[in-house]
Amino acid sequence: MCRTLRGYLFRAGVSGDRLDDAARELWNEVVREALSHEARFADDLQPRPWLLGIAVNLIRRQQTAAVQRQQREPLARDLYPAQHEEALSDDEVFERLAALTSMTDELDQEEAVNDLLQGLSPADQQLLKLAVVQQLDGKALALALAISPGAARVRLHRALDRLRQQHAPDTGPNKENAHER
Amino acid sequence: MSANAPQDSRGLLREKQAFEYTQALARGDWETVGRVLQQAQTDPLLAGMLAEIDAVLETESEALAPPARHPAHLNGHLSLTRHAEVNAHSDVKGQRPMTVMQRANTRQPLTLPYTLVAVAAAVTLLIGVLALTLRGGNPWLSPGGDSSSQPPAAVLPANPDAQAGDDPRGRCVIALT
Repeated sequence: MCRTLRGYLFRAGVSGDRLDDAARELWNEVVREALSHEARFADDLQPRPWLLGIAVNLIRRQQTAAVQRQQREPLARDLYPAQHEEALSDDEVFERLAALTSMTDELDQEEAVNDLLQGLSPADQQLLKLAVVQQLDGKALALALAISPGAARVRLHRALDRLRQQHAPDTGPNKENAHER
Repeated sequence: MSANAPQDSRGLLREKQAFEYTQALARGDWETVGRVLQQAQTDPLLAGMLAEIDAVLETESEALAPPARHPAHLNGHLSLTRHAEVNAHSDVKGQRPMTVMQRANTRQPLTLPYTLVAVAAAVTLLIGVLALTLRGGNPWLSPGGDSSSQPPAAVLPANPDAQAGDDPRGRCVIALT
């Protein structure tokens, strides 16, 4: 659990030398909050997401406080607003691929898949084609790739993200970095 | 192209939620992360999927930013409060009893190599003494020897002209030099 919080903080921009201490402090806060709101936890709830949800709320609270303290410093996302406004949303990019899985005509499907994946690296194309074949099922994809389901999903999600960037208008720095990653 | 049976809509929705979770984590969108976690609270399968993804991302982040020297602290085996960790040394003084796990985790990592070196030195010394005793007889232990007036053979300078039969200690000197 503490490792997950460490990963969260890493992605929240906490520097490497402070990560361990920050993760322990966050875990302490999570436990304190959980104990003080014990009554809200129903028996049928999953404890891990519940505790992580508390952690996310704490991170958001800290970030809000930090932003309020440093009102004059622009955030990275504010520097590239167009990137977020014009790129496909998570929902859109997933649905585009999901729509292909339900096509019945194999030739049409293959053509549509090739059209969608055009411009991506061969590795990404291969992975996404396999994902379409496996109906976007992470477990089936993991079996096909002989890796863990978690690793298969992370690979798929990153390939989908590159697909999103491929179809985004030529704005922001991500377009240039799309092929480098 | 589709070789498999179509995945049920709930399964597809879970995969989408997992995708949203990964993407939201990558861009620091904590609102979406929190929303997906809230959905996972009532969906054990989604919770399992997120846990698997977390495990992969943890490994990646640890490769980029390795944890400090005491990773056991991050496994949650130790006390939940940082206070207990900070006061680990005061616990030794008897202010508060420490658990076995706490003692195991607060042990200094450099103690072991020093102990090993000391044990190795002691064993080497013991073998040396045994070799002396078995090969040439220990003058300190021989019934007729004057142990108070003669230094042990090992510390005597070797005489190049001496032969092995000249002195009962000669063989030891030759053997050691």
